[in-house]
Amino acid sequence: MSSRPSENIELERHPRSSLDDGAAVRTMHADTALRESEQRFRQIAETINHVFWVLELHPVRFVSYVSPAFERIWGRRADDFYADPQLWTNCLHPDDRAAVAQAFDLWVQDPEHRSHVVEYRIVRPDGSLRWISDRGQLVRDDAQAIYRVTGVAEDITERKLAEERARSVQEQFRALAESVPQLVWACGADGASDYLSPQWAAYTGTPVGELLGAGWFEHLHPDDHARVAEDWLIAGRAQAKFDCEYRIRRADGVYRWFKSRGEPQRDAAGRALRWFGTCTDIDDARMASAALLEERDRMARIATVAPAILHSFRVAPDGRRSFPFGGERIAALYGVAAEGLTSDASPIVAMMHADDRPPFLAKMEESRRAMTPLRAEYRIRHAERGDVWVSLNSQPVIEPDGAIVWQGTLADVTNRKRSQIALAQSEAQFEAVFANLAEGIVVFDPEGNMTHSNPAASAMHDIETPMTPASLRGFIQHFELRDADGRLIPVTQWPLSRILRGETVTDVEAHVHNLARGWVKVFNYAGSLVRDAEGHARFGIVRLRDITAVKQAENQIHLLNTQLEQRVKDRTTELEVAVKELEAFTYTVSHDLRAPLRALDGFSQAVLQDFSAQVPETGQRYLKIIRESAQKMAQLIDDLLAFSRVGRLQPKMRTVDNAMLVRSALQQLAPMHEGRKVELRIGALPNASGDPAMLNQVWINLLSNALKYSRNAETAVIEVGAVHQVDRPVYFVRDNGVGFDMRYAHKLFGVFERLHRADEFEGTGVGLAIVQRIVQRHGGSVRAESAPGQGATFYFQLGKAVEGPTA
Amino acid sequence: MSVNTQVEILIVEDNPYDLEMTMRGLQKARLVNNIQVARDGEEALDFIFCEGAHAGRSFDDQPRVILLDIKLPKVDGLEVLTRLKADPRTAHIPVVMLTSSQEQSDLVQSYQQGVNSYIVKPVNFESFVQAVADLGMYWVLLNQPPAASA
Repeated sequence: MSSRPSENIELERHPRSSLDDGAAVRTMHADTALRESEQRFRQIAETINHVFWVLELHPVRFVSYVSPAFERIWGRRADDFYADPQLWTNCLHPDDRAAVAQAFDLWVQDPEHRSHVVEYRIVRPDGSLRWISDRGQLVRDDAQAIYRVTGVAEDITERKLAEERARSVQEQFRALAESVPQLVWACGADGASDYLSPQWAAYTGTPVGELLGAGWFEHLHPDDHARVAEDWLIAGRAQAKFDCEYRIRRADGVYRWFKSRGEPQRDAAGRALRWFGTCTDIDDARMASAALLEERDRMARIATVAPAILHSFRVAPDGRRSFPFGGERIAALYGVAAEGLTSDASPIVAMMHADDRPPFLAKMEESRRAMTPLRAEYRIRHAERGDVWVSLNSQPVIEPDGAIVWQGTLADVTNRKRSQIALAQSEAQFEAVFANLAEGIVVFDPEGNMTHSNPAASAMHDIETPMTPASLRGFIQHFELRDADGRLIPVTQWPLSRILRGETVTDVEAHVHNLARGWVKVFNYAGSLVRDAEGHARFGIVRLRDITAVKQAENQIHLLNTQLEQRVKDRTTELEVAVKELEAFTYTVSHDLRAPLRALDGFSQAVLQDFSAQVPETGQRYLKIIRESAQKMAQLIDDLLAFSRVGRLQPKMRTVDNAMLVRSALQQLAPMHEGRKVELRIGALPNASGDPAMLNQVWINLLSNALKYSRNAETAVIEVGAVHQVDRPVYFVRDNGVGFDMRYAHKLFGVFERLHRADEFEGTGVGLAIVQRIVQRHGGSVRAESAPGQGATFYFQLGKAVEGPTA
Repeated sequence: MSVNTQVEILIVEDNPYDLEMTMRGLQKARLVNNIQVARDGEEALDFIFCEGAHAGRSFDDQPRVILLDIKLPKVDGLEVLTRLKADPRTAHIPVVMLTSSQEQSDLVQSYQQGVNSYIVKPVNFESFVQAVADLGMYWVLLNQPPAASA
């Protein structure tokens, strides 16, 4: 091993001289040659490094010759040796003297041996030691008696030291190999072992002797055989390290994983002949690391697929921040490059919304100080998405170097946050509406516990906000509900109870008695049970309105109505009485007032017929005046009754064909225009809605007036038509008669009002009054335009058309 | 049954002047034979149904026409009409209502009760007489009631 290089060096140093020495020794046996070449021998002897020596045995032992190398090796002068025969012995190391002397004595007494090699130490004058290898040759005389010894002494100190060192190294190796826990081995390129440490035996339970060579291979796991053999082959061919993991069977039969590593041992030419190595038990570590790997893989998989980003954020003692883990996904979320985040997190940190930074830093500091979880939601300014909300939830841990690492999750909660904001806004709106509703709203869970109530509901019940008692039971203790007749409403029939049973309640009224405060109010209830998609009851809503004031008003109205109805009834009765009286009156007028007139007329006529001879002419004229007056009064009575009738009768509305009515009226009035020159101009007359009989009367009255007042015209021109005004036609009757002074127009439609003297135009002054009354009863109006001598035009318009059958 | 004894016209009229003028009109039309006068509704019913003062009268001897004033003491003309038309024995007797009024209610009721005709008594006596004469002539002379042919 390590001694070999030293041997090489020795060989190099004396490659040829040793051969020459051998040749010289052989020539020395020939006396003749010795003597003849003595001079040449001396020259050779004195130039080599070895010490050539001659020891004479007779008469006494003395050194007769040492070559010059002696002085250099022994460190002494050759002359001293010649002078002191004991000096050689004295130069020997004291420990070696006895052994050398004994060996010499044995050697010289043995007749078989001629050559002898002995190794010993010498002590140089300076105290240093030299190892000497001494090869002696016995020189015998013809009688075979030994008389001289020659030898060659060689300084082998260096070789000896190297051997010493090598032995030491070997021992250290063994000590080491046997003290370490690993199984130590040495193998050739073919894998055959020539050394196996005792641990092999201890582990396998098999003596090392059986394991040497290929024996160890049998103790490997069968599944690993092929792989190990291949690895050996590769290592052997490549002259390279052997590195392989395999299982070795333990004494109890259990296989454990070992990591086997071997370094090739190279010779001077660089060839690897042996491999020295160890097998380290890695079973526990391998198992642990397999579990760890599995765990890490799992975590990594989770980390990549988890909606939240698993990450660790590290703040080094010097304040440097980094993302040792999870940086890629954070970068993806933040829309920045992932490079460098494992060493510098500042690009990410810088993206936090400025408004959210101070509170976040405060939370982080608190987490660092108290080592409590860091939970925060904040915005980041995303280049493309704008403000992105993230939620952080992490736990700090301190690392040995003082760094703090927060490990946890980071999630994009923008959508949730936006929903939350929208929800909050909508809730705020709802709350505002809820709070400001005049209608009381109370929300109950399906068990009848109140969950919400608005201020209006509290105010109505005259209890605090939020409403207490907060359950149906609470309400039962504080309130009583009665119906309109004062009957107690059982709790099972309370609107809330009905709603909770699934009924939809609308417009239910109850008199609510607050037992503590003593008041009674009237509430109007509505509400229903709200169910979820599966049909399960979620909550009940009760809507309330305080209708106490309305009820009071209604009662008042009811009272007033009752009173009014009574009054109307009374008045109606009075009116009915009056109407009856009026009917009786008109009946009386029509029957009883006319009877005397008939007598006046009839008997005047009888006198004129039966006694005309006895009555003078003046008397006869008076009788005629009596008759005319009676008839005049009868006419007045008839007209008055007609007028009265128009007032009393209800128009029976039909669709009226005015053109037909006008034709009919002109026929009826034929006596008034027969024999006269009358030009009738009848325009388009739209239908109207009205009472046919009454409208017939209107046309008759207007047309008869027109004919009457135009009778003095040479040619009477009567024009009938309609003009359209807005939505309803305005009918008119125009004549070219005497007309009238518009100053008296207001009297025109009064009863018994006349604008002409009776001797000019006969009449009672009721016709136009009847026209006006009929038109008014149809919701319309009538007016006249005229000037004296300019004819007159009467216009009338009826009320809005009412659907009805054609008359 | 002799024509001479049959009452041809029953006049039910309470007003003596109207009655006198009616009689005068019928006289002038030569329709005065066998005229019976009742001065109120009760009397008219007694006569027609042969009751009271007329209990001994034969029910078969009914007038050919009845001139019935509408406004009568005790039982008015409309009721008399109702009773007449409700009884099958008398329902066929033509009844002419005499009335001073043109009250719609009177006319409507009269027609509802099955009146055969009516005359509004005008103040003008001549036209009244003429109307009565025409109607009396029509019913008495031209109209042969079913009972007569029975």
